[in-house]
Amino acid sequence: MGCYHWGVRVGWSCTYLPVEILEAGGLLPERLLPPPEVPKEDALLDPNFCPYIRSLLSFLQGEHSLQAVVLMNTCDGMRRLFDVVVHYLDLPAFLLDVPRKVDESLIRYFRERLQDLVHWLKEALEVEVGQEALHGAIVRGNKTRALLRRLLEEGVKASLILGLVREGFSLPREAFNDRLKEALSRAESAEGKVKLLMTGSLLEVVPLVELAEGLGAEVTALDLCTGLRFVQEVKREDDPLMALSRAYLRKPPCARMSDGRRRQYLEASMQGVQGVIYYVPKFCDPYLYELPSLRGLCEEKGIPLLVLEGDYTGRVTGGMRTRVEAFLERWM
Amino acid sequence: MLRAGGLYRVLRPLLALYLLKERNRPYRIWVSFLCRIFEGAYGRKRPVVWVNAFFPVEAIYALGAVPFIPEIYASLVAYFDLSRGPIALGGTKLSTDLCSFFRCVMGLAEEGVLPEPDLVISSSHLCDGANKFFSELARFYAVDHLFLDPPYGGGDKAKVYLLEQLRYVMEEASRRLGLPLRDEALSLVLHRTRHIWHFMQEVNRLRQGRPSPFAGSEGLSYVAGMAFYSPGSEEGVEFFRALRDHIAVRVRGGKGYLPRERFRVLWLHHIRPYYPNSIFSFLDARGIAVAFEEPNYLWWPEPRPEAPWESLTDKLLCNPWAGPLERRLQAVREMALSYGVQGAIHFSHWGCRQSTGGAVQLGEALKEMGLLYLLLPGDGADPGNYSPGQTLTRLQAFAEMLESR
Repeated sequence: MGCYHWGVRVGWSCTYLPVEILEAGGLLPERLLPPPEVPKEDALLDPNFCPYIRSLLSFLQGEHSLQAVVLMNTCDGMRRLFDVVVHYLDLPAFLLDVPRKVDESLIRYFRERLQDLVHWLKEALEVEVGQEALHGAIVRGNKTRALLRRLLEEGVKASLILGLVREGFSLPREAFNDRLKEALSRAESAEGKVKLLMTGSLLEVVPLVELAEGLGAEVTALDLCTGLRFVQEVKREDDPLMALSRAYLRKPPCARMSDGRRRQYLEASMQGVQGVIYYVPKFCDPYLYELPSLRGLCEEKGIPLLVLEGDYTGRVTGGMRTRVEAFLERWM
Repeated sequence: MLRAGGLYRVLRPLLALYLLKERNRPYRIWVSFLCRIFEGAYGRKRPVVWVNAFFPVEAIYALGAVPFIPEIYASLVAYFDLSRGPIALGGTKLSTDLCSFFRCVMGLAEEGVLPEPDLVISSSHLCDGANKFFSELARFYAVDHLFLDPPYGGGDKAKVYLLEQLRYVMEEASRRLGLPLRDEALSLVLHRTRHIWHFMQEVNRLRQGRPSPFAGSEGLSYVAGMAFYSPGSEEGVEFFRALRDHIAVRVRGGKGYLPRERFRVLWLHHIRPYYPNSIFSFLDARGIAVAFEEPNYLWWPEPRPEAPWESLTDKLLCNPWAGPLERRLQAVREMALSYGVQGAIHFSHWGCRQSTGGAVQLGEALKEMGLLYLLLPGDGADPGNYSPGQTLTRLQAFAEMLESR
């Protein structure tokens, strides 16, 4: 087990980052989810940037306990946020390039980028990431994923899982695993009248899921950036970075990935559901461009779709509530 | 009627005759080039490949297919002030938070106006939405979509990774279209691109002359259009040679494009509003010359026909608008110095995250050089998103600041 550099918190922004690398360096990874009440920065970034990115910039400009951030090359907005952080903030930052397709050569390419991250951690934070520590971090990460799989198998309420995952974003791995074990011991399955797929980008409005459940729905899949896109095991390989590269690139794809796997994944996630709720923040290019395709898929399958646009306020607005109620009414 | 390939065959000589007195020779070559492309795209005698503006179009010429760049078509539609309808129609499928050029293309596709593709290819290195949008277009037309995913940074590994991808994409294109892809054909195309590159270099050098010999508004329309569309084509060589000659004559005669040039500015971003607007007439009236514009900056190294794949890979990887912002800052600083401008106008096109994202840092970099900077929000394709009052107020303030110096 790696020795924690307690207090050295590193912010991260996207689920394509193998946080095991940070953990293997004894760092505490913390998902960058600024409180929604943080104002949206609009001086350094254009107002037509997604509200999450603008909130994140405000958050990073203010007081926080992060010693560094690892951002991802996920969209134009994120890239430009990285530029702003590098230009204006006294905060070490690394941008990890993630390919949009997956094949062996890209897995090798991503592995090289992970190696760059390891070098950067040494340079910027004087943190060593050794092979053994990486293997150990992968084993612990696999425990988390196994526990999450069990929670899913038990049919636990999605809102509970979402809440746990969110909590886990800022907990040390062992503490998170303990938290999951505890939740599993108390787990009760919950069935609703109507099964829903909740998909989309970063969902900061956890009560939205509770609202749907309260109205009698059962959210069977949480395909969200802050949900459960990755519960598969990372297979052991001699080269742990290669193992991480392979596993993270092959995890269920988000809308940013463009190789057809996303559509297959959505189709598979729609099996057995009666409705789809799509949550997308304003100005979020990858998800907004995906919408016509999703709409077509839902029409093909005869599954009703509700699109909700968020503004990173963290609130279920009156409008959202009314639309969710109206959407679910047809089954109640 | 627009979809009849023969129409463009007939139009070509007629337009050439019509434009003989009115417009310069490069412009006439541009019109003729477009007619040939549209004739090929609508006539469908050869496979039609849709590519996005940042894909290296040379590869399509080498394949012997007809390249069709929908963003350029959308800008033409806007130029003729016909974009409102398609944008509204496209807006029923795509969010209004997204780029209006793409919404316009979507609307035109829905209207059935565009030539149908046999294959769609895109590259994501500059505009994040491109791959998603072009994938949607491929689905719309029920054809295959291939895409390039250039890496963020440079370096040898990135180059190898991209080179492999480019070869793979073009070999797949060749296989799916049943067109042979020969290295000799690509070398020939790169040979033409090398000529174009040299002419562009001369054009850009000539444009440093005072007074500004060539209007930036034209640099942003058909010259940029040819810079995107023509590399690798014979017309491209002809166009840039003619442009060089045209500007050289003006420089020799000491002729500026304005009757009296008082100030020189740089236009930042690849596009301008193409629909009728008063931005350039205002600048002209105040003696503010747009001496140069970002899309015509020659960022790529001299093409090497003997190593065509490597050359195209370099072209993709060197793009200063992709990758870290520092590259764009450096390019803009260089342009500001070369063209001796007193200020710059950053046209912040609605929905274009990659460009507007660096606008503040660009402003600071230019201000550090003692230059004035105007951030001009607007929309390149959607006249409904154009506020003449607000735009002119901003331009007015900018002009006054230039005058007060």
